Amino acid sequence: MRPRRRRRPSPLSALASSGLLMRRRLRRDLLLAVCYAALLGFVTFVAAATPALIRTTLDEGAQEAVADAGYDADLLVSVPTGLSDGVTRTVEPVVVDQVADGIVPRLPPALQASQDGATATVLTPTIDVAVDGATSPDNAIDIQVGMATGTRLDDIVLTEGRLPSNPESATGPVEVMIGSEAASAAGIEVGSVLEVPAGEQLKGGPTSFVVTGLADLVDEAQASTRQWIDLPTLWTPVERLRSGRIVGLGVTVLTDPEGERRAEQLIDDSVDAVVRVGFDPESFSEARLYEVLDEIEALTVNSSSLAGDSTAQISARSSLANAVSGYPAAAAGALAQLTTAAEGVGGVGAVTLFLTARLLVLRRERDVAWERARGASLLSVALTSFVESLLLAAVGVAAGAALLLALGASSDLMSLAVVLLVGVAAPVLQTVIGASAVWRAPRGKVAQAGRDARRRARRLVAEALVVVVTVAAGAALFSRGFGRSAGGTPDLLIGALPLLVALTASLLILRLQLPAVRFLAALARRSKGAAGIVAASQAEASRPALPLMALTVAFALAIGGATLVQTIDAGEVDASWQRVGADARVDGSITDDEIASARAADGVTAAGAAASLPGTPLEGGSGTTIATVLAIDPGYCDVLSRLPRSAHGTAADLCGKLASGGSDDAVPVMADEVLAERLTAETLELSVEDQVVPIRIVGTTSAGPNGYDKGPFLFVDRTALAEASGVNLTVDTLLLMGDGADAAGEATAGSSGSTLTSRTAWLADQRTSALPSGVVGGFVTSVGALLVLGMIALATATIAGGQARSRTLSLLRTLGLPRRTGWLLVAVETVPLLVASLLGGIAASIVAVLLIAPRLGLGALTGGTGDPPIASTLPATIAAIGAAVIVLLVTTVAERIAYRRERLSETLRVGDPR
Amino acid sequence: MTMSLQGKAAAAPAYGSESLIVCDNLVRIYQVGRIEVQALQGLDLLIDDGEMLAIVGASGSGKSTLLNILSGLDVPTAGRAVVAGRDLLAMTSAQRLAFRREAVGFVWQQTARNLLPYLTAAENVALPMSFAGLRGRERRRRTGELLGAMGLRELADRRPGGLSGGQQQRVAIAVALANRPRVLFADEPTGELDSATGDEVFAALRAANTRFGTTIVIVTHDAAVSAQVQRTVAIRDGRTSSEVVRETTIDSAGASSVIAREFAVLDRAGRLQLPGEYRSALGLKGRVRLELERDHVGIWPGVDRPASAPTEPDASEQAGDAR
Repeated sequence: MRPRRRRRPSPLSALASSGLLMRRRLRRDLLLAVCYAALLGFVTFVAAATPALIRTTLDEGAQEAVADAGYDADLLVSVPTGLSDGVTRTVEPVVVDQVADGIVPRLPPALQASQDGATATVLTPTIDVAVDGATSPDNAIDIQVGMATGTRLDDIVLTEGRLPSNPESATGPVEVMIGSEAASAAGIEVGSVLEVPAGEQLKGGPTSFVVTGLADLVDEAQASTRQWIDLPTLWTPVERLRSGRIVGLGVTVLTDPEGERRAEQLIDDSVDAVVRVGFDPESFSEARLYEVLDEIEALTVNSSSLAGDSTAQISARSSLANAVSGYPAAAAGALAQLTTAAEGVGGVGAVTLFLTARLLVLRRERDVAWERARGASLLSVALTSFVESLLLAAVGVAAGAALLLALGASSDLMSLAVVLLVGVAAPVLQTVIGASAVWRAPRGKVAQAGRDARRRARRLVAEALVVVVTVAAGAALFSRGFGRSAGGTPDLLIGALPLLVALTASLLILRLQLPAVRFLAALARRSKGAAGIVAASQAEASRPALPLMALTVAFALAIGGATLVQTIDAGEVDASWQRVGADARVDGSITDDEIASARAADGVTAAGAAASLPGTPLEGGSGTTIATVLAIDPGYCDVLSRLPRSAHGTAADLCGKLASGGSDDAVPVMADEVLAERLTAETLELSVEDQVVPIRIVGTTSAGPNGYDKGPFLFVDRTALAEASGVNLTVDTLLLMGDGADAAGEATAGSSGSTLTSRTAWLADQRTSALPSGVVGGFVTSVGALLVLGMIALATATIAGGQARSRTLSLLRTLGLPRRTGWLLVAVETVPLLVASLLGGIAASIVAVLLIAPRLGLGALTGGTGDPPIASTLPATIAAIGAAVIVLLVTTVAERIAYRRERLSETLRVGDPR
Repeated sequence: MTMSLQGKAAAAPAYGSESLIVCDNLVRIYQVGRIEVQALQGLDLLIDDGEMLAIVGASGSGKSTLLNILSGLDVPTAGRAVVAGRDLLAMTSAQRLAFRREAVGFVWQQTARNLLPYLTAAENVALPMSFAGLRGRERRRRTGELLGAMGLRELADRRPGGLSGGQQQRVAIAVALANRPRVLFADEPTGELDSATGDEVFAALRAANTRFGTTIVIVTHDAAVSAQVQRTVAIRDGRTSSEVVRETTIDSAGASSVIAREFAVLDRAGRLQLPGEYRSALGLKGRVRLELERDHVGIWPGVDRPASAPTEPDASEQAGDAR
């Protein structure tokens, strides 16, 4: 008998049935479908926001670095004016503005896009002048002559007299104007003549300057703007000091281009006009910063492209590279940390999606078996699952993206695509695998054994692959570290190291779990009553691999991430002590009365003063060693004793030794550890303002203000050094401790004209600066996301076993076991899972943190002088355990409530009717 | 002209060449952990096209295993199984799928398992047709025809939850017939139903047999089902043991009567299972003596039983001796 021939069903017919099945199933499993879509939305939100967060963090860090660099970051283009030495091509001052105007359009692209305008300044070196009737001590006044043109004249207002006007070919005094405050300080008024001493006069140059006007800025705040930054003594004269004594006054006067030309005739060389090209920090991104640095480097080598038609031999320079030198390391550290966090969340998110999709697949298991029995092809089954998954994934991804959009964050399209792909693939793959297994022809004994052997081999290979990749990532970390983030490309292999370590730990746990469970089950079986036997059997039967992996990885990364957050947080506090040195620090010239006043202020628990003598040569032994001498008072040690050891080293008995160490003419001193290694003799000599003082090293200390001063340091008692040298040592650093430190410091700074640095303010600044706050924010977000995903994985695993548990429970209850056995069944399935994943997670987190933390550049991120010590994982572990227990309880209670009204007979007869 | 026995055997057509379903020395061994379970132990069975047949047997006799094999949901370990011209041992996965889609239909005992609960009766019936690529109009027409044949046309838009158990099973029969299968297998189709509802289901199966010409194979442990079919095959220990054939005769007065005759089944290997009451009546135990007569084979109790021979020989010995 021959079979009848029928035509093959087309994919289109499969599509027709898919629509109906999908609609009806979605309606039946709406809650589960909505949960899956919501999880997809959450994963999308996290996945798509993370690259944007990383990019924003790094870009804001770059902007901050440029902003912090201030005018130091500006590009300075020098244009030689005045006399030519025969080699250097110069231009007349009058054309400087034209040259400056031409520079900006000729800047390379990145510089052009980042520039914030150019300002040209022509300023002569100092010229000594004599002013009749001037109030300056010894009548010693030096002037610098600057050129006032263009927009500068718009900023000033004449308070007296008129603008200078120097006609061409004039030979008399050069007309200038001067700032009112400078004029008042120097005793200059309109009509004053500033005579150039005969010895300073050059042939053909002017012999005097005459003041035609006094001027002020329209807005005093403009004095610190880029327009006036290169004329520093124009509005505020500077006192010339010698040995701490005022010996003269320096001021800047302004003139017109012709006056400038004539003034330059007093200088026996060309005078460089400076075109200052400023930057707009807001225009920077990480990539832009590196482009700008590259262009500046190129311009420094060859600036001819900026000259255009001008014959001037111009040159460019910028300190931007130095000013932002700390950024690359900090950015690399931030990128590394955020990458590890992002990859961890991505990995756990993918596994959790698979787990949740499995709930949907399990729900449809019987439907698919029905379809396959009725002749539905794999294509048809896959198509139905694909259409449904695509719909759910599209809704979930769109919801996540919409949420991002609503929050004003940008979405990373690649991340959206990846989540969409995983969201579609997770149910489809599991459905197809299940559908291909149902009604499959059974294999023979030999074939089955071969299949089992191949499956074991595949598992072994997969596990070995994970271990090998983990080792490779570890080796890469040790060999090349996290690397520089130029271009913002993260090292994905190294970034995945924590994830891989956690994955390896989960594989190890999976291998160890079976013997452990068997051992415990054997013990449980010996217990009295049926509960032990039931629990043992259930625990042995239930060893879900995917939930264990998801939970282990989630716990590992959450605990590791939280530990790093704690490390950064504690490191920032340490750094604040290191960088400030006390609760408040006042830098500047401070009198003993002001110190006494601050010490006596309310809320001040300690006040220490130091006179710093940087670059002091120490003679003796085999040569000269340069050190920073800190002449301190006993209060300084009092302050040190109140600092955390991690912040300032140990200052054990520093002042005690300084006070008691003197037994001869030598002044006792203490050297820090760096200096102690360099010195070869105990008795040395140091020079204070040409006074040689014999000193003797009475000990070493690890204390030292490395956070805000440059060592190595030599500590000496201020009174003893002053007596030995006969020099009055002016205190330039005052350290204050206590709640009232900021107020006292503010008062001191106000009265002495010094600068106050508050530790609280420093810490607040540090914590709100882009890179640390971005990293901490990223970690906190990732830890939160990991906990949410981990808890979803746990809940999913619990729910997935509910149907089989229900049947088992129904059977057991017919045999006389009490209802509470249900709790036991849930517990024996979930508690081992939870305990195993927690143990694996804790171990993996410790390994991962120990591996990566020393290489993350945490020191650069916290602002400290070195890497902070790694915080304990205990608080994070306790928090993770607490969260897990809560979710376990909630899930268990929810499940028990859901099964409370179960009909035993129906469950036993036809299985779970739901 | 008289042929020898060997000559008759050589001239005989291939076993079951004219049958729709052929089971030739069918063996199915399950591997449960380290234990092997022989569900079918060389079963022979022939079913002709258009028959309505019941397979009965005690629980564990192998009848459901046989049904799963014949419906393409399971594969035998050895032997030969041919359904509608398709060799079930030689089919690929794709061919097996097509076989399930086109050649056979089946109805399970559990009413909930036969239908998708979220589809209406009509949609349930139409779905297998869409798997087979039937166009929409043809699907609708065929669905209406099938539901009409089952007496369920007015319930077409109801979901299984809104149907009684009997109605669900009748819809399940319609689903099984959707792609015009040659055979419909039913595994305890009335197992969950009361006798009245069960009769309705049997009526539906008979309608499928008579109206659509579909061969119906019903598996049941209920011997009373025999009365509902033309032929009943009993399975014991994985082999066919006996058959009951019913014939309706009409006497000269026009009255009809059903005559049921029970036959023992001689399998392809020559094995025969004697009914228990026969053995008891004649004290047939252990070795028996066979004598070939001109038109029958005689069986006599054995006389040379060794002193050490077991009083109750096992099945294999019994089968061997009977040969």
